[in-house]
This record gives sequence, C-alpha cells and structure tokens, in this order.
Amino acid sequence: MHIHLSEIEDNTTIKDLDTDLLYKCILAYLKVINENKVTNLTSTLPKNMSSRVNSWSLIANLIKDLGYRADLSFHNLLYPNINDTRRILIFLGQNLPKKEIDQTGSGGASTVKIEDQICLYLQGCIKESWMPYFCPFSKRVPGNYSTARLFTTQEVKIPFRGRQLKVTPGLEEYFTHFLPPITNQPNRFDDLAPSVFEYNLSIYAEAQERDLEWKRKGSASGLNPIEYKKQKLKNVLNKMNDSIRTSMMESGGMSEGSRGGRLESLSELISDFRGYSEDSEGQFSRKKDFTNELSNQSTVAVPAAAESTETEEERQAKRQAEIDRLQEQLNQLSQKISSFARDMENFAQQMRQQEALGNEQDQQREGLEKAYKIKKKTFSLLDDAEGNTKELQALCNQTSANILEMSGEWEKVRKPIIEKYRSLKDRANNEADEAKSKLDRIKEMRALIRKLVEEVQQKEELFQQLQQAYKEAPKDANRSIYTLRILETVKNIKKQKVDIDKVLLDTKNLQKDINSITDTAVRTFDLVKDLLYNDAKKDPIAKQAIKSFAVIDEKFQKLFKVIDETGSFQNNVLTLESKIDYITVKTNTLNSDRIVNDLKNVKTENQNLIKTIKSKMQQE
Amino acid sequence: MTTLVDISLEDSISIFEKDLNSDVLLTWCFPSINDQLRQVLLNKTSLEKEKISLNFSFSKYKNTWIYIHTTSIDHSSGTIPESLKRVAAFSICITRNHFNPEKYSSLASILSNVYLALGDCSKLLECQLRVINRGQFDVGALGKFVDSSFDVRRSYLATSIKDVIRLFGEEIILIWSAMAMKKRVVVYSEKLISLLKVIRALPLFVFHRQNWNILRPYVSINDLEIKDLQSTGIYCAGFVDPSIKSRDDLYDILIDLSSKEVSISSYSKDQFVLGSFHKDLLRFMLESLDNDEVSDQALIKGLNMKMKELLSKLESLKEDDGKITLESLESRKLPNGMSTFLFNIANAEGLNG
Repeated sequence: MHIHLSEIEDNTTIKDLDTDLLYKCILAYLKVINENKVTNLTSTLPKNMSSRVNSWSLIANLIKDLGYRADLSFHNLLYPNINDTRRILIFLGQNLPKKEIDQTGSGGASTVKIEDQICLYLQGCIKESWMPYFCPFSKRVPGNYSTARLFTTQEVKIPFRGRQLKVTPGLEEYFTHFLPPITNQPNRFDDLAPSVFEYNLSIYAEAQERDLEWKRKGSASGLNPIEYKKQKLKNVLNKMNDSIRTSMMESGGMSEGSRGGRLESLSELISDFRGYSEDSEGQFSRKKDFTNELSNQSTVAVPAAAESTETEEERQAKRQAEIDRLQEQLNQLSQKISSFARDMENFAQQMRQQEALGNEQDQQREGLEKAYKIKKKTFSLLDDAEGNTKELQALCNQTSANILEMSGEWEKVRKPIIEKYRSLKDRANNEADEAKSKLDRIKEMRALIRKLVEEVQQKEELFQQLQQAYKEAPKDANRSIYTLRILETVKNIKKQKVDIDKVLLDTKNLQKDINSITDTAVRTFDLVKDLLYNDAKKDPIAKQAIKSFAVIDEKFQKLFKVIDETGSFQNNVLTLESKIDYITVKTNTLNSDRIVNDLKNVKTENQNLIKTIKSKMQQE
Repeated sequence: MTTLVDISLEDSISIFEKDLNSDVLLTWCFPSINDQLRQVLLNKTSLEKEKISLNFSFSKYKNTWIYIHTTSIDHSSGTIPESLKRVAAFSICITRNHFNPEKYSSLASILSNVYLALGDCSKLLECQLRVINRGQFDVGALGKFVDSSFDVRRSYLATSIKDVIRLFGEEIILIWSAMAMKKRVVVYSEKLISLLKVIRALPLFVFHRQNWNILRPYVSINDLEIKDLQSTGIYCAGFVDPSIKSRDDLYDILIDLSSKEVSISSYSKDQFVLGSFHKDLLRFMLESLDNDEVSDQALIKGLNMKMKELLSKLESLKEDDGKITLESLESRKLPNGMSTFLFNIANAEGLNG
C-alpha cells in the first residue's frame, strides 16, 4: 500500500501509469487483500517478455477470482489503457479489508487520495442498512459488525407556543422551570441527533397528513379546522369506547366478578389499569416486606439452625400444618367476601325496590292530594249543588271560550312566525348549498394550484439544469465565430446541393441513353432474328448464322453477369476497406510500435532460445 | 267526576313538524311542556331519522305517559291547508299521567285527521278542552271521541298473555320470576310495534299488583332517559337500540324478542335458581296454552291464585317479629334456591314491612 502511494506521489494522473508501475500498484493491493496468493510473484515486473506475460496473466486470474466482472486478460495490463486501469484500481480499492482503510486513514501521511478513501468508506456505509434498536443484533448487517451502531431514539420534549399553552394550566411554568434542555433529555448522548431527527420527522409527517386530510375531507365538512379536529377526537373516543365495551361484553362471561362487563368507557378502563398498577405497586411493596421479613427470619433462623434438633420431616409436617391453616383462613375469608357481595347485591335490589315503591307512593300521594283538594272544594260547594254546578259549567264554558279566543289570536301570531322561520331556513339552506358549491370550486382551484406548483417546480428544476449546462458550456466561444461557421457550412451545403443536382441530371441522362440503347438493341435483335429465320428456310448458311447468333447472345448474357458481379465485388471491397480503416484507427490507439518492438524482442529471444537448445542438443 | 281526577295541568298536546328541509320543530303545544320532556318527545317521534315510523307509539318518561301519532303528508293531493304546505310529516304528542294506549291512540288519530284537514291549532285546542270538560267531542266525518268508552281494564288485557307464553315457551318462567321478584327487566326488539305489543303484557304475570306504571315501553339510549330509568329503581323497559345488550348494569334480565331469548345478567344468576314451585307454575302455564277452554282471563286468574297461595305460605313462615330473613328461611331446610326465591318474593311484596 505504502509503496504504491509513494510511487504515485511522483505521478499525478492514471494516464502516466506505465505497466511497471501498474504492476507494483496492483501487487501492493493484492498483498493487502491476500498475501498468500502473491508470494510467488516478483516484486517488480521482470524484463523477460514471456515471464512478464506469465506474471500478468497470473494477476489477471487473481483479480478475476476476487470477483472482477469486466473483461480482463494479460494484454489489458501489459498495455494499460486509462479506463481499464481506473476500473481495476477502484475495484481493488473496494475489495480492501476495512481495517486497512482505517489504518491508512488514521495514518494521515498520505493525504493525496484521502478523499477517495472517504468515498470508499461512505460507499461501504450505504450498503449497510439501518435497523431499529429492537431488532436482534444477529439480524443486522451481515458480516459488518464493526460499524453497526445502535441508533435508538427517545422522545424529546420541545417547548412550543400557541393555544395549548394557554389552555393547559402550568404548562408554561413547566417549560420555563422544569423541562431539561434538549441535550440532557436522552439518556445517551449518542441518541440526541436521532431523537431530534425523529421528532422533526414526526412533526412534519403529522402536519402533512393533517393537511392532506383537511384538503380531502375536512374542507368539505363545512367546519372550521378546530371544530373539525374536535369532532374527529370525539368520534375516535366514541369508537374506542364502543369497541372496549363490546369486547368487555364478550369476555364478560369469562372474567370473574366485578371486573367482567362493568367497564363502560375508556376513562374507566384507564382508571382500571391504574388500579392495577397501584395494585402491582402494592405487590412490590408486599414483596419487599416479604423479603425483609424473610431476612429477619433468616437471621433468627441461623442460630436456631445451629442448635436445631428437629428433622427434615418434622419441619415438613410443620410447614404443611401451617399451609393448611392458612388455606383454611383463606377459604373462610373468601366465603365471607362472597357472602358479603351477595348481601350487597340483595341490599341494592331492595333499595331499588324501595325506591320504586317510594316513587309510586309519591305519585299516589300527588294524585290523592289533588283528589282531596277537589273533593274539599266540592264539599264546600255542595250546599247549593245545582246552582254551583251551573255556575261552574258557565265558568268552564267562559274560560274555554276565552282560551279559544286567545288561541285564535295566538294562531295569527304563530303562523307568520313559523312561516318566516321556514323561509329563513330555506334561505339559509340555499346559502349553505351555495357555500358548498363555492367550496367545491375552491377545492378545484386548490387542486389546480397544487398542479401549477408542481409544474413550476418542474420548470424550475429544468431551468436550473439548463443553467447548470449553460454554466458548464465553454464561455470563450464567440458567437460570431459560430455564425461564421454556420454560414460557411450553409454555403458548403449549397455548393454540394448544386453538385448533387448536376450528378442527378447526368444520371438521368445516362438512364435515358441506356433506355434508348436497350430499346434499339432489343429491336435490332428481334429484327435480326426474324431476318435470319426467314432466310434460314432457304439458305443453310443462314442456319449456321442463327446458331452463331445464339452463341453470341449467350456469351453476351454471361458478360453482363460478370459485369454485375464485378460491381458487387467492388462494393464489398469498398466496405471492407472502410472497415479496415476503422479498425486501423482503433488499433492505432494501442501502442503498435511497442507491440512491434515487443514482438521483435520475443523473436530474438526465441531465436536465442532455439540456439541454446540446439547447442545443448549438439552437446548431447 | 272521574275524568277530573285523571286530568292534571301536565296533560298536554304538542305538535312536532318536519318540514321539507328536514328541519324538525315544535310548532305548537298546549298548555306547556318543559325542556326535558320536549327532548324526550323529540326522540320518540322518529321525525329526526331518515325513515319516519308512522306507527302509533306509547312510552313513559318520569311519571308522564307519552302517546305519539305521526302522519306524513302526501303533497300530491291538493287538499292541504296553507299552513302545512311546507311540512313533510307531523307528530301529535299527547302526554297524560295514566296508561291507556287505546284511548289515546284513537284521540291522537282523530286529532291528526283534524289537523291534516284544517291545519288549525285552535281547532285542536277546542277538542282538547271538550275532552276535559265533557269527556267527548264529535268532529263529524273526521271522527268522534267518547272518553268513557275506553276502559283501562281492556287496555290491560289488549295483548293476549297466552301469545307471550307461546312466544317464549319454557323460558317464560324466567320472565315470571323476574316480574314476581320485582327485578329490572329489559326487552329488546328490532321492531317497535312488536316491542310495544309484548311489553305491555308483562305486568299481567303479576296481575295482583295491577301496576302498569313500572313499564317504560320505549326508551332511547341517551343520558336523559337512562338517568330517569336508573332513578326509577325497578322497571320493565323496552329498547330498539341493540347496544342495550351490552349495558348489563341496567338489567337483571334481558328479553330479546328478535332471537326469542331470555338472558340473565351475570351477577343476578344466583337469584334465578328454579325449584319445584317454578316447575309447577310452568306446567300450569304450558298446559293452559294447549287447552282452548282456558281463556286469557282464566289463566291470569290462575296465576293470581298461585301467587296468593305462595304469599299465604310466606305469611306462615314469618318470624315472631313479623319479618322474614334469609337466615330464618335457610334454617327451615327448604330445597336449594327456594329460600332465596322466597326471600326475594317477600321483599318484593313488602312482607318485611
């Protein structure tokens, strides 16, 4: 590692790495990764060509074994090009054991590529996945425990302003006097940052969710946000109460006694839980008492044990007796309790019945009192029964008539009021409808706004990208130069167009000529054929001529074919030539001179070897 | 004279109207009702619900019997008075201090007819005053009401006790025990009409008390009515809200008409131990079911006789100080559960002074 770094210090870029230096670098990496595998390699690249090739192919295999995926063989290393070299070095860097990085990082002497190392480290970190603290340790990032960290969070309390502060008494005082600073809130200092992050995230998420809900449902309900929140709270509470009640109902039959089925609301349930916790405290204190007692006993028991003469069985029997006694007591007590409970139930029953009786009698009393009053009045009027009856009847009639009259009057007032109320209500309803439609419009507009905002954001992003591109574009390029160049190009194109037109014209002419010539040829051919056939009937020479004519025709056909083939071959030659050009251009990037040189070396070496072999053979 | 005793100032008539905007309003009442009662009436009218029940219903709040008749207005017929043009339905609520559903059903339906035809509240007032003064009125084609033609005894017997026994079969003995021991009884049914029909027959099982005031035929679950119910002590309360089933703090015995089941709340189980007496009584009831010659009245009389026998037996069990205690009953070595039952009966009948 150090070799490679110190060597590199003289060279500034990868471009300057030649094959010898690359060999050293890679060897250094491989040594760090797995020393055993590179023991048979020399520390510098040998001068001998064949051993060079050997060493390089060995190294190439090693790198492949490590998991390098791109194409790799000795020639990539023997004649290094920038891309491959960079890729290989990065790959090797990533494969270094982590400790090595720490050491080199803390070594600090080699500051040149420290950024690379940081990058590598961070890359490694990204591969780790964060897991909450309650996951078992063994399930976390497999194979990388050195950096695994318990990111635990704790609830932090942050003072705030607002309505809640006014509503809750003493909250402000709590904030100012008692709430510890946030840095003291988590138990471990390491938890501070994650806790704050989580607090922030939860607040943000909550706000967003609420916003979303408000946009979706809230605004349609026609309430203001605070009312809506209250209503929602009420609904949730009701629902919880209901479900608790029903589940209590279901389990009521099974759970014993007073607890079963008696819980009516959440608050009661909570208080019940609280009761339990108090109970458990009691249990705890009892346990404490118990252990104290035990220790007392044990201190007492120690001297007793020293002089104890009683056997194990006796003790056992004693214990058993005590247990029996206690059990009996317990039974008695529970019996008593249940009988008391029964009595209580009975008394409650009786109380209810007595209450009912009381109510009934009250009612009777009322009735009787009234009857008494009426009867008393009747008795006092009994003297002149007929007269009084008449009088009473008259009075009744009179009063009824009065009441009726009044009711008629009242109708006159009542009806318009109700009519007015209803029409007002109608108006209110209409207004509510209108408001609703307006609300809908507002909603639509909101959606539009959101869409527009999104669009604006996108545009902004695009703008920034373009600006970035603009910034990155070379500034020195002069506009006028470009214009000139463009003009020139246009001129060229025009010229070329004229040329193309000319060529096209020529081609057309040629085509025309060819056509006319072909036509005449065909006609002449037919004419000649006819003539010859006509003559052939009389003249044997003409027959001969026909034969020769046919042969000539055949020959010509062949000729045409050959010409066609020549044309296509020429085309092939052209394409191949262009390919060759392309490949030559490509191969030129390789250092062909060096290859030729190396080839020469190899040849001379080979000849030398042959010579030595020959001489050896001769010696033998 | 009898009518005068029955009539008190609390006897009122009120009209609730639901207009076309689904707005429910107390539009008229005479003489007056208080806020609580108004709220209870409103709950009972079903006007605030989507589906308005047009059945006549009766219920009780505190000591007031509530009789409600709801009419929906058909706007396609052209004879609607001007004041009802914007009304979708209205309920006539009559409050009285005694039980007689038949009488007030008839009165309420006549009043509804009058109001639907004339839309005039003063006409209703006239009817009301006539009922108070003369005990009758006649509005021609719209109906005729004669107070004296409705005997309360007929109302007591309106639902056949045999039908109720038939409905529950053997479980009827639990209902009888609950009524005899003055337990809190809750009846649940999905349908108001069957609820009312069954619940009004329950006091028939303890006819010797002749007490229909323990009925709460139709109770809605809200704070107001539940509180009233709890302050009553013992009751026979009817509900159409299924959530009553989970309120076993409100009943000792729950009669579910929808599933025809009778269940006893967990903490009163040991009060309902059945013995040979119950067996006899049950046999008596079931046998008279099959016997067509035994009328409802005869059956009720038979039950009454059995009760009297029981009570005289209890009288003989009294201690020297005229009291009956659970211990004294238990010391007489009665069959298991019988002592509890007798003690409960003794308490219910006030034998313990």
